[in-house]
Amino acid sequence: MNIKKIKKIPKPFYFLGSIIIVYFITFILDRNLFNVIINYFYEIFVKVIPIFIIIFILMVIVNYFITNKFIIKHLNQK
Amino acid sequence: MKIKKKKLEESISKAWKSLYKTFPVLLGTILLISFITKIIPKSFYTKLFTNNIIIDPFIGSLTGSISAGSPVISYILGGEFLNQGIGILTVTAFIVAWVTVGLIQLPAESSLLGKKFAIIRNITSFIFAIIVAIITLILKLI
Repeated sequence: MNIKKIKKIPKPFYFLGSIIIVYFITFILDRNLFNVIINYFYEIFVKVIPIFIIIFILMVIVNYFITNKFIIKHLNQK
Repeated sequence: MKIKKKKLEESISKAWKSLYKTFPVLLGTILLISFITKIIPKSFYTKLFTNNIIIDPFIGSLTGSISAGSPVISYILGGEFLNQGIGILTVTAFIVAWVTVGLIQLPAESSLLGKKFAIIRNITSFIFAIIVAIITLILKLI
């Protein structure tokens, strides 16, 4: 019998999921507080996006120029 | 200088994969920060941190040591801590410890690099996080 392999949910999603549950509870208990929190979240998120784009570009540049071979070549002097 | 298309594609895909892995944690952290910031009043932090030159970075370093994740997340957290009125001393120690000390990763580090090495490296990094924080504050004040 073929047992289908169930894909494991990555651990970070458990963290995200648990926080979404907390938000859901807040939404049920106090909608005004939920709106205040969501607005604040939006403010931070908008600030973070351009930083993330810069980080992505820097990561691409680093990945392009600094390869494993490059590191081994320069660290393997001794 | 000629850019190799295949190598560039590989670099983009590698960068995208690592950012994709970080994204749920980042999103969760921002959600958590927003929640905590609005739930806990600012006066709580001013009571917790008393501007002591040793205790404040010690708490920061301890918090950073037990936390794990991408350094980007520590910068976001650090920025929010500063907004909440927490001193630069604590925030610096927190960021340095977040990056250099890894209590959660200690078993993996000790198995790969040796128990003695891992413990010594983590203890020195913890102490140096406090020292770096003090130096940063002094240099900032000059």
